[in-house]
Amino acid sequence: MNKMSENLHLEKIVIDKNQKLILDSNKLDNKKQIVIKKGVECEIEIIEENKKIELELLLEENSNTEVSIFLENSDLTLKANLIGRDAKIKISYSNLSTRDSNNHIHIYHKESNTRSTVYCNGYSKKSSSIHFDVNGYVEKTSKNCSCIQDSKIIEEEDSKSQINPNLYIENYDVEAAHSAYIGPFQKDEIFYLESRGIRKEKGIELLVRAHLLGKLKLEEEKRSNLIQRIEKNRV
Amino acid sequence: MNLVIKDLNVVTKDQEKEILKDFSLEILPGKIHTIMGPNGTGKSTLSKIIMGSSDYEVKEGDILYNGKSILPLTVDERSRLGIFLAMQSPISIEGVTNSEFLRTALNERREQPIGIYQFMKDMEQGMKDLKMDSSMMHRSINKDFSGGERKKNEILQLKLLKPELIILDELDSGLDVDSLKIVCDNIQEYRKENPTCSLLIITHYTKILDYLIPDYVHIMKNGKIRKTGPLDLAKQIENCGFNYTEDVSELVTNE
Repeated sequence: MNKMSENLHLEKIVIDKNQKLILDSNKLDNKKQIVIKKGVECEIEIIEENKKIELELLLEENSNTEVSIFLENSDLTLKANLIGRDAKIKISYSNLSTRDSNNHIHIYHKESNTRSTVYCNGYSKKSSSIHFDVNGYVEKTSKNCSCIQDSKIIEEEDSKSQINPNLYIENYDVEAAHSAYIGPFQKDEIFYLESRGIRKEKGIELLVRAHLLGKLKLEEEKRSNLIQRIEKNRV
Repeated sequence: MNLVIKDLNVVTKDQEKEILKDFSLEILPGKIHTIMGPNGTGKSTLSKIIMGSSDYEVKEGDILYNGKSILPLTVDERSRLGIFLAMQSPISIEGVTNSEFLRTALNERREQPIGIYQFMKDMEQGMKDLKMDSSMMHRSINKDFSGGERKKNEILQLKLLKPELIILDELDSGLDVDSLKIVCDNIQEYRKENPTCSLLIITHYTKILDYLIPDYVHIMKNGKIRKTGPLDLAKQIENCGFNYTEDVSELVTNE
């Protein structure tokens, strides 16, 4: 697995101090490798549309990374290598699609005491489909790791979305879990909103917004812009 | 506000289970009614049926709100008409903040959207009255709230949405004694300001009735009101259990 990563010939960004990294279109025009150095706390933010994004993260010892990604009609391949002890990553990925979208997320726990949490939230419409392949790997020598995935795709119309949650665990001392849901919003959520006088359509609007933006760590202005984009796509 | 439930027959949507059979009840303007009954008798389901849940189908009978049938109305229409259901187990919705949710609910009732300043002021006051942490305003609806905080949040919504019929479905479950007193004081205060507002309390216990003293206590069993009486009836139930009602002749009355 290591070799595969090394052979990708990615452009490299090294983060050696605590910071937030905002990757825009200019920085994402090719495959990207980001190294988060030992002990660094880092936030990474990506908001894009109509892109094919390939990203590899290397997390060194005791680093802590929080990734927020919002993609519209795009594809994502993300590999996170937790190569140092006590490295931690939280990925919140939201995908809004009116066309078919393919997404592959791989989390490699290559050291002990590493932690990963991956949230993939998709919203597909107009007979589009979203595919989430989410794979967690814990090597035999990696003890006391935590590898958690939670994927949810909301479909208002009939589509062929798919979630493949996989956990490849070779160590016994691991906390691992995955959940996956494809379908409409829960009836009790809609009932709760309606019971407060919110019309069904408005309630669904709130729920879509919550589904796609609830997990992302964004500034208020960006959140407002995304709300407009989401609404535009839903109409 | 006056609510009349007339000979209501209700089944689950899949038609498999009969929920209410010839159920009748009148909730009078400005009065407090309490429904007590054993588990599984249909008390909470009744509250959802009044609210218009699509999980149930009314086969016969009617529900009249101030003389007009609400059966053709959707859940949101019933709410905007003035019915409020404080739920037994309020769900959490991640990503929708309390303030965003409540402001949306308020604006759905108004021709002109409420000003942000007025809204914040009202919400802050409501939270202060209920001794809620002000940070809850910006948190997702009920997300990581304790059972008691969720119940307080229901009453906060009530205070802002200003209903005419309040249904409290086991408000007392999950509330400690101090919190129960706080929420009941807030409900009483609201009733003072809105004297025609009626209250339907669904409960297993009489503690809540020390704070919200009912005008009528109804005992419900197997989808029907079996007996109606004053507060003493609730005390008798507390002492003797629900089998007590089997020993007396059926009495289903309202004034």
